Amino acid sequence: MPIEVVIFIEHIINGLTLGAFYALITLGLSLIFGVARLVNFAHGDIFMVGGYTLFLLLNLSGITLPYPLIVVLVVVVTALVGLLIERVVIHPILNRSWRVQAVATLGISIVLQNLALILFTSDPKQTPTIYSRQIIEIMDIRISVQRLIILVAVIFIFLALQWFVKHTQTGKAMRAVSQNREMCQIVGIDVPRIAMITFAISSGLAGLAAALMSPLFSVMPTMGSLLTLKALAAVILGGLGQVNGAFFAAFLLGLVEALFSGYVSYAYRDVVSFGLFVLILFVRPQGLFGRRVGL
Amino acid sequence: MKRRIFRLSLAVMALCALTLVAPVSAQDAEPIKIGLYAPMTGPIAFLGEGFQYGATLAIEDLGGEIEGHPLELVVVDNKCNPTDAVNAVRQLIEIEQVHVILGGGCSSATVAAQPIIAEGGVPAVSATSTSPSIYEGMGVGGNIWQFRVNPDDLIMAYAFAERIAEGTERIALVAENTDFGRGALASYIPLLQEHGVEIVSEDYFDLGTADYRSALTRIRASRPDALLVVMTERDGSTFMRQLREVGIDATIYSRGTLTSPLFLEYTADDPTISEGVLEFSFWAAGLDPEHDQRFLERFGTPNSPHRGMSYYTTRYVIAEAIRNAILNHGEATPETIRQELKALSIDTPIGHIEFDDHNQAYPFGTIQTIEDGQPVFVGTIELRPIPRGDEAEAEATEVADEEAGS
Repeated sequence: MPIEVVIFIEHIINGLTLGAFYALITLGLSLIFGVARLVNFAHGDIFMVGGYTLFLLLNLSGITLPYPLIVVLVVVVTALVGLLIERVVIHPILNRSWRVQAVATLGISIVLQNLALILFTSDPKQTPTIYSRQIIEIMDIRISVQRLIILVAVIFIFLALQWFVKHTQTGKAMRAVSQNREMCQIVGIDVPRIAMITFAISSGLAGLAAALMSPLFSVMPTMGSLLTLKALAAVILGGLGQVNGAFFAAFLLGLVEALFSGYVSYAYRDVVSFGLFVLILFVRPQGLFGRRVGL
Repeated sequence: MKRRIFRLSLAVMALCALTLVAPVSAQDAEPIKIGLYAPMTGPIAFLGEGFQYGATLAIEDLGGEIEGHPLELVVVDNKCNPTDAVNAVRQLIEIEQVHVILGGGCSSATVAAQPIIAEGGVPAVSATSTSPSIYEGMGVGGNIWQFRVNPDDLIMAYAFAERIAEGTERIALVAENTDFGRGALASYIPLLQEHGVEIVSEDYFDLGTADYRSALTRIRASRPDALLVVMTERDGSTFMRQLREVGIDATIYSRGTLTSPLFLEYTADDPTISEGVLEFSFWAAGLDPEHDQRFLERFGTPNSPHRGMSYYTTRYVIAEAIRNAILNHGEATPETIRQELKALSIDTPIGHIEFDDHNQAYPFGTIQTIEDGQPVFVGTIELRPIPRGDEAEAEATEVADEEAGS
């Protein structure tokens, strides 16, 4: 196969793994926005909490836990952290203006980052697994098993989430709340409870992203900052509250970034991805998959 | 009664006289404040933490005082960002009223702080900021208050570019997207080209970048013989992991910290990640092994370029200038410390420190590599003043004329 084709395939794989990474973060952010109408600026920091949880679990003295069990534990811990944040901070401000909510979630972000700085210092922590070190080579393309796991996991999670919101009572309630919160309250759906469950699921998804991605990167207090902005861009691109749209927008973002930095320049990849974001909003203000509504 | 009053007055006078002639204890003497501005938060907070470790250990080694004056370290955060650097230096000069400043830890901060330091009239000593642009403004350049212990990238590039060119025809350049990274590559590019090396790619990465694969795939496709990587430990460790994953088979030259003990700590799960990397710097593990060991024992984490340079700059350069200011001028003020920095000539473990008319020192250049997962100190290179500005242009014209003539 010509080298140009091999390189192109490799760039596509890079874009898909990057997109899968963004998608896991975006799914959670989009879910929260859909149900609670809240932009959680601390979502990337919950991802960071997941990274440090993974670090702690991989370095338990005297015990070596299997990686799949560690992934489950990270998801549980981050879901619990999300639940705690929802109860303490989000729940009291659920019906307040977006300004109050923005300041509150930004506050959580600052607190979590500084807590991590105090507890773990600013030194990056490494969380390698046996899969991140295993390299598969096909047609001169080298890729770690960890990246393949991420690709498979994100598809599985997307399908599982689809099933959950369509076939379970809680999932149906989440969809109902995202469509008409007031009507749900009238018919007796416990909206705060649904918001709480959504927050836990979304935080668990951030934890899953951390457990899968951190072995390829480094864990540090600021690891989630830019990620929240990227995920937010994908949520808006996909159409606010459109979970499926946000999912595909995340992959689009990943592919654009990978192809641009692969063929043109890495330095301006964020400029290009956010430029694309502005351009699409200019043409379709409702996002790629959103519907135009009139007042 | 009169006799009693006379005796009492005598006793009081004797006491006063005793107080006057008694040596000044560390508690009585005015403390000397050393201000440190470095990134304490943000993406490269580990640099500021390292600076604090180095300065703290230096003050401990000095017994916490110089000539009876207790030393006080005042730390402010510059986030490695120009706006915060300006605020940080203002805080040190105007609010904390420090006697001397160490920092700013990274070039972006040090460059931005220059006008404030010049205006504030407090001597500032850089230990690791390598941007060549700082040189022009220091000393005879106008800012008599700024000094730099570490060599800049241009000085190092003059010493190392020829060595890189010896076995390289095609090189890919990679750097962090900061004044440090951009300044380093800007210094190397013309010199490498002068030596006939083809530059196949030039990439800059923002601090804290997580995914380098797309750029690495492109670099691999351009088939370079070598890579020159200008990154600090944290980003460098992630970059090198992904470089190994992509499978780039080229010689790696580093102008950062890819062979330091701290880098090896970040890649402890696989120390072979930086196997064979050839590092050019102004600090190397093994230059002062005894100090490296003491650093590890004191903080439980290994020494590194910024940690080591912070120590040597505080311990030998700043402390010596303060001591000479007290001994030669009777007091350590910003002005007397500046005068003594200018006059300083001292041998240190990082080389002989003496500032030129641009307040630039020329310590050792160091070469280090990794063998079997362990840092190996290859040796030192003498660094010397290089042609700059008009002088550099004149030299280039002379070379061109010579070539045309031949």
